[in-house]
Amino acid sequence: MSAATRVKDLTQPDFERLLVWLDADRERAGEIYERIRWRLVTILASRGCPQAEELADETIDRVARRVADIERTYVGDKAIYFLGVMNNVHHEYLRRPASPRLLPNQDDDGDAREQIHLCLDTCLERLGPYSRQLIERYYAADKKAKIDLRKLVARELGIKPATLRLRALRIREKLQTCIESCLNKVSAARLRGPQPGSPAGVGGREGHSG
Amino acid sequence: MINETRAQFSDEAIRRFLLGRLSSTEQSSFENSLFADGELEERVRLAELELSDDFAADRLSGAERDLFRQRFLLTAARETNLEVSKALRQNFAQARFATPSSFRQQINSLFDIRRHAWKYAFATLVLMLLMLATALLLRKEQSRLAEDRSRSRPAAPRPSATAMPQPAHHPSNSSVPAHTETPPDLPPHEGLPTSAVLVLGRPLESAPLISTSGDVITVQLELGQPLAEYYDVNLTTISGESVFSANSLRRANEMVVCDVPSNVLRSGDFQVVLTRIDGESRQSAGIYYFRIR
Repeated sequence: MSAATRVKDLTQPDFERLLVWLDADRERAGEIYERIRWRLVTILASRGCPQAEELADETIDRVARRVADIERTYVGDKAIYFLGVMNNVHHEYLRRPASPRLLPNQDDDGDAREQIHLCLDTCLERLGPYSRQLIERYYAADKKAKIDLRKLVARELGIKPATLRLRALRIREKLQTCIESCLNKVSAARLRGPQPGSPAGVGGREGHSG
Repeated sequence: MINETRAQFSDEAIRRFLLGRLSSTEQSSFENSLFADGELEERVRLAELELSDDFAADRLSGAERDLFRQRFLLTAARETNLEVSKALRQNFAQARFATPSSFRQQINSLFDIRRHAWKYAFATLVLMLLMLATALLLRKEQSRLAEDRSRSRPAAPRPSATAMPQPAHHPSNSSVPAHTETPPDLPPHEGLPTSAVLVLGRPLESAPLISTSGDVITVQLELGQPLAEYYDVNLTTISGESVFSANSLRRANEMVVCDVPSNVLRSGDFQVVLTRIDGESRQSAGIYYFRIR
């Protein structure tokens, strides 16, 4: 969920104050916001919380409402403050009676899967030739011979297996970001109504990656 | 506090964190580190993707798969991750590694300068060229030094001699016996040669006849093994009276050439005692015979 999306759940002044508190530069503040939210979700999920995203958002809401009181006096890493608030939110959640987890709609899943494939194709086309070759070979390795084949791929590319893994995962991360952006654009387009054309992508063609 | 929480976590610990398998103490430490350490955050992000890839590729154990579903697959973003992992796997399933790549790809791959093999080959080539250049320089220098040495070496103490050996009236091929007939006791005559090749081990009876019609006679001594660089020559009568000597004569191929003044020789039989010079020591190199008529 982007910082722009979150604004609907917060009052505009609280949200603006939160971003300014995180960083004077709005773009940088947005990045910090996303990173903090990801950390909160990751930790809550690791604790086995089935509503990790909801609790992370609730944590951010609470911090945003508190910024006006603490911004002049708070000293230290601001991100750590979120961690403290998250602990409170999570403790409160654990005391609540358990609510059933909603199962995803299977039809929607099929559509989403198809859309992911389309976005993947679009995003793969945006990769540079080296990145494309690297990720293609990395993922083509058969599962039973994963290690040996990836060692072979690494040798062919003239890099160490650990480097191959890191490069492949970083390209994979770029792909993930590209696909999520593509999916968001498709969703936004659907909300506006049916339009012809291929799935929307993000960014230009990347250069030599890795 | 922050420094304490920046303890290093292994990839295995990160995976256990994602699957909710850390102890409460480890969990608390990990959570603090995740907020304080950007590098750990990056590693966890990549580990999330890798875990999804491994699940999609069926690389997790049964227990890990259960934990993946129960403790990992709890957010929409991670579900999307997993779908992307599956899509990637399906997308590249046709491009199995074993599938031979196109000829163009193979050529490109072969000449890809990023490959370590090329880097090593290039380094080896440079090294070999350097070694070759050094060897050539050394050889040239040695050759020059040897030339200088031979130029500056004082002339071997030779008696008055002709600069060049006189052409012998004997075949150069030593396998052909020369003068095998017993020399007749004939009066001297002008037709005899003034030089001879003396063969080691040839007895006096078959020794060559030489004339003293010129100022010098030239004897060419065929050397036996082992060879030395310099030799001493002592010419005596058969009875052992020394008539001439020459020291430190330099070997030419497998021959020592010695010029003997005619005026020290009278008709009769002579022997040449040859001594090999090996550094400070001297060893007998044989006795040669010839006759003067």
